[in-house]
Amino acid sequence: MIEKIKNHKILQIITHLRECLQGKETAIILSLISIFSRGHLLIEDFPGLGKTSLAIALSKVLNLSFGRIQCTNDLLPTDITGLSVYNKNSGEFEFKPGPLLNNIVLVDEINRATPKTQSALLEAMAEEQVTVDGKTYKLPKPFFVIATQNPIEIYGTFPLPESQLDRFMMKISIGYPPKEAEKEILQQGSSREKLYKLNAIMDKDEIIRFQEEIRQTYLSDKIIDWILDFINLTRQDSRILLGLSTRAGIAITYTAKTYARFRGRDYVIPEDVKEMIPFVVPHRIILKENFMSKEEVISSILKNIPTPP
Amino acid sequence: MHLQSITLNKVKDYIFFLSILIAAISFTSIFPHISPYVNFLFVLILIFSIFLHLKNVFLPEWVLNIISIILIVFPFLGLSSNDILMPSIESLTLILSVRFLGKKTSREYFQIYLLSMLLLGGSSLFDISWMFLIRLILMLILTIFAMLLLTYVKEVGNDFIGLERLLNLMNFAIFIAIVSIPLSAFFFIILPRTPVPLVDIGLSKAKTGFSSTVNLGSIREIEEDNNIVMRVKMKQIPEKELYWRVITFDTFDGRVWQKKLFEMSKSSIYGEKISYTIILEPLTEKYLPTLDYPVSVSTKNLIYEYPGTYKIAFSLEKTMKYDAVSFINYKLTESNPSSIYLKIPPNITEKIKTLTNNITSQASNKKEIAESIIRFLSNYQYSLKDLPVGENSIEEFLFNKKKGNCEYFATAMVLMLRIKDIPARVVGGFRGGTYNSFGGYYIIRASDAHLWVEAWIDGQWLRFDPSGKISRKTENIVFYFIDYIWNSIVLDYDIRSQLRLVKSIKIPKFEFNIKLFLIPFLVLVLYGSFKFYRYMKKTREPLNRFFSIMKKYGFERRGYQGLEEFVSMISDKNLREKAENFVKLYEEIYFKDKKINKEDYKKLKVLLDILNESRKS
Repeated sequence: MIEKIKNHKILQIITHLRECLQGKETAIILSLISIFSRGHLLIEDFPGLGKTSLAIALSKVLNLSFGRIQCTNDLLPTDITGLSVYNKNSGEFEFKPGPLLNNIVLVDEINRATPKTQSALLEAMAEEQVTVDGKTYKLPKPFFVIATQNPIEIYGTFPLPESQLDRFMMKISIGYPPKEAEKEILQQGSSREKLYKLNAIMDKDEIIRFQEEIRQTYLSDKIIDWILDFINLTRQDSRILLGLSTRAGIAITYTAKTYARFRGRDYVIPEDVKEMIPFVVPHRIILKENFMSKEEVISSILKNIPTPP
Repeated sequence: MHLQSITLNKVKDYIFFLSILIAAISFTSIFPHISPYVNFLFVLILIFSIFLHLKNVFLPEWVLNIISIILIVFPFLGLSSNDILMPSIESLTLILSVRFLGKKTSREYFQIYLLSMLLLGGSSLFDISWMFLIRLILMLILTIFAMLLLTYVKEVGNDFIGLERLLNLMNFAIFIAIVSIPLSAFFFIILPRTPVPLVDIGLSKAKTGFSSTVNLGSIREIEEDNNIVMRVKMKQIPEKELYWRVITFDTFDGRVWQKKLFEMSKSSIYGEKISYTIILEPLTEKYLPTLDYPVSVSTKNLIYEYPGTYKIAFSLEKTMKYDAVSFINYKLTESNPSSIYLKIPPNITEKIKTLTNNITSQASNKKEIAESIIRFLSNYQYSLKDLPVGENSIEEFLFNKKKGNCEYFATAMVLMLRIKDIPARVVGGFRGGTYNSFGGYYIIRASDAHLWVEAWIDGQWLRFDPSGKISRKTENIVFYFIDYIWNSIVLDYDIRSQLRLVKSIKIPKFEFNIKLFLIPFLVLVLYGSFKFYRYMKKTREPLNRFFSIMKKYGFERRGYQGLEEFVSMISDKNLREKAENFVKLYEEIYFKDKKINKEDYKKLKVLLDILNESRKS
């Protein structure tokens, strides 16, 4: 994927991050796509593969504030949003912002939190604001959530329902690093220190500007029609119980636009869409039976639609 | 898939046979006019060249050149120097055929097309009929098609050509040909024309003609023949004086008119003198038509035949030209006509005699007798169909059918005059003619053939035309119509004849009028839809070519594959880059919903050429 990136600012970020996140280029790119598409990212992976490192590194490189929530089943909504504390000196309640009020928020093991906390989090993600004691606080911009979830541990967890998963623009997995990269990691040891010393390459304003620019990317009707065909087929397919929502369609177009910009174009081609679909679509559909993986079903649907031109 | 693409060799075969066809079309226009040896040789060489083509063997260029030079010189040997055209056309024909023997690049093919066109043009020197137009259109379409194919092959090189594209080229060729026809019509109006075929040469096949006997009903064949018999260069004279005298008949046996009287009899003539030049096609056997009544004809081997007809010693084989002088509004006096002019065939029944007496009972002198006969016959219908036949066809004509052509009218009148003791004879020839004021000549066709009557009254031979005033009905046959249009617009072009044409369309042939409007309308609609199709095609065309090139590399795009996805399958880095260059440019136009402009089109083409070229090297 990295060889397709042509936007030099993005390339600079990637090469910069690569130094301390060996073998995670794809994850870096996808996270960046998610950030610049103004969406949130769900990483489903095993512990110890560098999810936290990725989040920290991103916040440093983009010069954004970073918050981290470690979910447990006794975590309360106020633990993440923050709460009002009585100040003895002023005699007033003072708002102590929670970790959610940062630009980049890492929500570790989101499926361990209770549904109550989960929905508070997801609401904040959707509305970009939190309400504490009847007072509404705007979340900072840009606001980006990286949630992680452990696919193996089921015991004592509250898996997110598909309707909640729909709120995440993309779902990725980092995967094990290649042998070379892993060897390098082992040689150097944990590089958390290095992460905190990373230089910023972009600042907030630049990010927001770039986000705006991405929204202007030209998307031909030919491709929109093609995406709509795809969405409709997922709704009609006999193997699929729940097809794609309109929000899913929006997510497809946004990510495709961002990817197109990353690749140095100001218009979208079908390949942009195709390459984003595996990260945008699977977590939003429910299969009737589990004979096939979601990826297989999706790719078989794609093969039935003629791609323009 | 096999149907979809045609290999280069196939295309070369197509071009070769297309060229054979083109040469054959021009050959059909020329072959009746040139010597049979040349015809035979032409066909032989053509067949040999097909054989060579199939065997893929070609004669070297220098051999062809030597043969060509020999062929240029050969027809000129042994022929008189004043007849240059015929050998030229013959050698042209042979050179055309020889061109097929060599190795053929587009240069040779273009030579073939040029020679074919020249040959077709040459054929117009012998014969201009509407068939020329058909041949011309056919040749235009085929030649343009062949040239497009050649250019295509040259452009694309070692490329496959789709059946669809082949048909496309064909459509385009037809389109160009059809569009070019109105253009040539425009040139036709502004460019000067020669009024007559340039040279009066040509061996024409024998056609229906005059002979020294006339069977009743035989003139009919001539009257249905629209061939031009002669062109007469002269000033325009009143329509009623346009009688072209060819032959006279004196003896009737009830069925056949013959000429038996040959002795000269003393006669004198005076009138208005007219001199003119006749260009005669070989249709009238030995007889030379002249304007009634001729006084002199100047040509070699001339024989004068009483009364007032001329012939030559040998049968006419090619067009001839002669000057003549005639009198119109003449007075022809003769003292004592032969008694042969009073002979009545034995099978003339009393019925006819009684009828004659009834008709002429009121007449007091000979002239009134003739006039009353004319009056009586004018109630009869002129017709070319369903003519009276049989032993007593005249009786059948007079009493039953009451319709016939000029033969019946003239015969009936002569017989009636003879019954009333007035010497009379039948004159055969032509009546009328179309005057071409642009070229200053009359065109007389076989269909103008006519018989009329001369009667000796008060010492003078007077002309009577019993069927002359009765209008002839023309048959509504498409053939005649096309011929008429061709003759009126192309051959007799002048503004008056065009006006006449417009008038003639309006009254009797209204249904043609609608069709005439329909054709341009259809052409317009076709043109419009073709344009639209081209436009739709144009945006996809570079892509189609891209796919066809990639197919030759062994990469076939599937419907679900995006272009870049498709290109990324290519393992050869060099090739992939070239393909990517094209795909990127095309995508930028296509997915930005831009219209493909000329510059983009060119750029895309260059990229495709690069892509294609790397395959060759």
